[in-house]
Amino acid sequence: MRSRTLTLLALAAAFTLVACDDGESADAPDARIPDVGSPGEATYTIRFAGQFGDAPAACGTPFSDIGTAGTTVELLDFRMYVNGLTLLTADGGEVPLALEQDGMWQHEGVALLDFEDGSAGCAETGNSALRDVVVGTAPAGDYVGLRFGLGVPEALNHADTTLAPAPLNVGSLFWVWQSGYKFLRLDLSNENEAPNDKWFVHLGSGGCESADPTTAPAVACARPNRPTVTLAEFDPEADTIVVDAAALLVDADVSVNTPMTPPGCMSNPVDVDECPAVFDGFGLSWDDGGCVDGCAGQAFFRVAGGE
Amino acid sequence: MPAVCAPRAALVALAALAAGCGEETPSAAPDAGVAGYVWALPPGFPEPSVPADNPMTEARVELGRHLFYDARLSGNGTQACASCHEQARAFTDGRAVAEGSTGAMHPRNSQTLANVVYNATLTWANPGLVALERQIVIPMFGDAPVELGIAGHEEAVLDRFRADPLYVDLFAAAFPEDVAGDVDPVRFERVVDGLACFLRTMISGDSPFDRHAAGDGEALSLAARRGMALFFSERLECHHCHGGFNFTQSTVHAGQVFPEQPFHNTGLYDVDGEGAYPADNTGLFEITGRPEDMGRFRAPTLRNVAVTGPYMHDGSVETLEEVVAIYAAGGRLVEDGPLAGDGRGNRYKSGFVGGFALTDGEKADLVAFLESLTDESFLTDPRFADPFAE
Repeated sequence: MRSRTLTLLALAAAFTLVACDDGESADAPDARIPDVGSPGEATYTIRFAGQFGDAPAACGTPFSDIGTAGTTVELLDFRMYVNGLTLLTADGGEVPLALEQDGMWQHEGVALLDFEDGSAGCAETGNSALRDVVVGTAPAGDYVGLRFGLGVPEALNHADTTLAPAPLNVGSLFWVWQSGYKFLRLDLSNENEAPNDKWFVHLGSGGCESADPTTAPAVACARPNRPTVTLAEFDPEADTIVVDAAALLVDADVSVNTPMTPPGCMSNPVDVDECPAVFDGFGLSWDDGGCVDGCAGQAFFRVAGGE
Repeated sequence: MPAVCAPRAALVALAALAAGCGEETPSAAPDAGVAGYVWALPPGFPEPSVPADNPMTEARVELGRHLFYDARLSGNGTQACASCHEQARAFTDGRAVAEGSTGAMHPRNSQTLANVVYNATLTWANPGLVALERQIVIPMFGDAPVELGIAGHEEAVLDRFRADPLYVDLFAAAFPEDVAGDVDPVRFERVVDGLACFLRTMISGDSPFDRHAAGDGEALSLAARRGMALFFSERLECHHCHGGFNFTQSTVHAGQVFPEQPFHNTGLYDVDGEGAYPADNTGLFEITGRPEDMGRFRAPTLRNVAVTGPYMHDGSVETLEEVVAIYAAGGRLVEDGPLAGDGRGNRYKSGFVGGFALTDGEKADLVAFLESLTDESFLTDPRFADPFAE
C-alpha cells in the first residue's frame, strides 16, 4: 500500500493543479458556446469512427479479408483510451484541447472511445454504451491538424482502478497496478473452429517493474507502448478520424495463434509471433515500445473528409 | 441485547430531529438512517451501491441478522438462510448442490455471500437480477426448486414473527415509518429489506493478501507470492475474469458509471458436441435463449475460496487443485456417464480459457495464493454470527 498511497498522493497533487486550470476556463461565462471566428473559447467535438476498412465496426457482423491470410473476423470488443488531444495550427502552433469533465467518458486529459455495444459476440466483455467523440474546449481558431496519444498517460496508468473516477474504473480495461490499463482492446474471432477462434489485441505498457502485481512501479515501465498519432491535415469541424482495425492488422496473420500463449497479441513478450506485425500498425517498436519516427508509420488512424 | 437497543435509541433521536423539520421534508423519516450509517470498509474498498428505497440502518441490519438465522422463515420451520450459508464456510454449505427445506435438490452450488453488495448481478447467471431485494424472494418463495418453501404458508410464517415480542421490537425499530403510519411492519417486503441490509454488511477484505497489499511484508508466504505473480500473469489469464478488488470482474459500486456484467463459458461440459451444457444448468442461455450464452456463468469472487468448495456452478469439482488442473487443460474432459463430452472444445468457451502449462510446484504456489484470500476475521466476525447462539 505504501507505494500505492504515494502514487495516489502524487495523483491528487496533479488533480489539484489541473483543477485550477479548469476553473479558470469554466468561470468564463461563454466558455461552452461555440463561437469560431471570434476571440474566446469554442467547443470542439472530435469525431471518431471505428471501422474495418470502409465498413463501420459492429458486433455480430463479419468482416472479410483481414490480415495477411485474408481472414473473416467478427468483433468481440473494441474500446480504447486516447489522451493529450492537441489542435495544430498552420504556423506550427499547438493548442491543447481541454476535455469536458463529464464524469463518464472523460477525465482530465483522457477519453474513452467505445465501438462495441455489448451485443452478439461482444456480450462477454462489453457493455451497451457507445462513444465515438471526444469533446473539449480550446481558443477558437483555424486549426489544420490534430495530435493525440493512444493510451493512458503514465501519471494515471497505475492508479487504483477501484477508486479511480470514470472512465478509468472500467475493470475490463485494466490489468493490474503493475502494468496499468489496457490502452486498447480489439478482440476478434476468426474462422477457426470454436473455441480456438479468438484473436485479441490488448495494447498496454510492458516491462513494468514493481515488487509484485499489487504495487505500482516506482519508475515508468520499460516499454511504454503508447503510440502518438499526428494527423497533419485534419479539420476538427468537418473531418472524422477513422479508427481502422483492418489497416492496423494488415500485416498480421489473425488466423493463427501460437498454442499455449494468449490468443493474439497482448503486448506481452510471449506473443513474439503475433505482436511485431501489430506493433508496426501502431508505428511502435516491438523491441522497446517507443514510437518509430514519431509513430509516423501508424496505420490505425486516418482522416476522412467531411461533407 | 445492547446491539439492538443502541441503534434503536439513535433512530428515535433521528426521527425526532426529522420530525422537527417535518414540514419541509414530510418523508424524511425513511431516510433518517442514511446519513447515520457508517460502512466498515477495508482499505481500498469502494463505497457500495445501495438502492434508495432501502437505505442502510443498524436496526434493519440487526433485524436481517435475526431473520437470516431463523428457521421460522421457512414454510415448514426447518431451514433458515444460514442452513445453506454458513459463516465458517464464508456463507456456503460445503455441499455440491443445495438441499431445500422440503428435501428438493437445487441444481446449483450455494454461493458465498462475502461482498455480495458488490455483485454486478446476483445468482449464477441472470443479467436482470441486480438487486438483493429481488434475489432474496427466490429462495423464500421459489418452487422450482423449493428452498425455504414459504409459498402457501405466507400468513403462518408472518404470524410466527408477530407472536414473538423480540421480532415485534426488531421490526418496529427497523421500520419506524411503518409504525408511525399505522402499517404492520411484519410483512414480507420488510423481511426482504432487513435481510438485504444484513447481507450488504458482509464485507470481506482482511485476508493475508489484503495485508500484503497494505504493506505487510510478512503477510504472504513465498509460495503465495509466487502464486500471486502467476495469478496476475498474462500466461494464466486468471484476472481477466477474476480481476479487481473483489476478484471478479462482475463487480459494481457507487462510483461506477459503466455496468460490467460478464458471464463466461469455461469449458466444463460439451454433452452433445455442439456446446451444450447439462439441461438443468445451461447458464445464461436459460434466461436469454441465445445460443452463444450456453454455459455462461458469472465468475464468483475468489475471496475465501479455500473454504467455499466444492466448486463451479454445480459443485462438480471437489478441490482447488482440481480447479487449477481444469483451467490448465483449457476446460474439462468428462470421459463417461450421461454428461460425457470434451468441454475443452466447447464452441462457446471463453477466449481466456485457452490452457497453460504449469509445473507441480507452480500449481502448489497458485493454490497457496488462493488460500491467502481467506479472511479469518470474516469467518468469525460476531457481527455476522447467529444471534440465537449467544
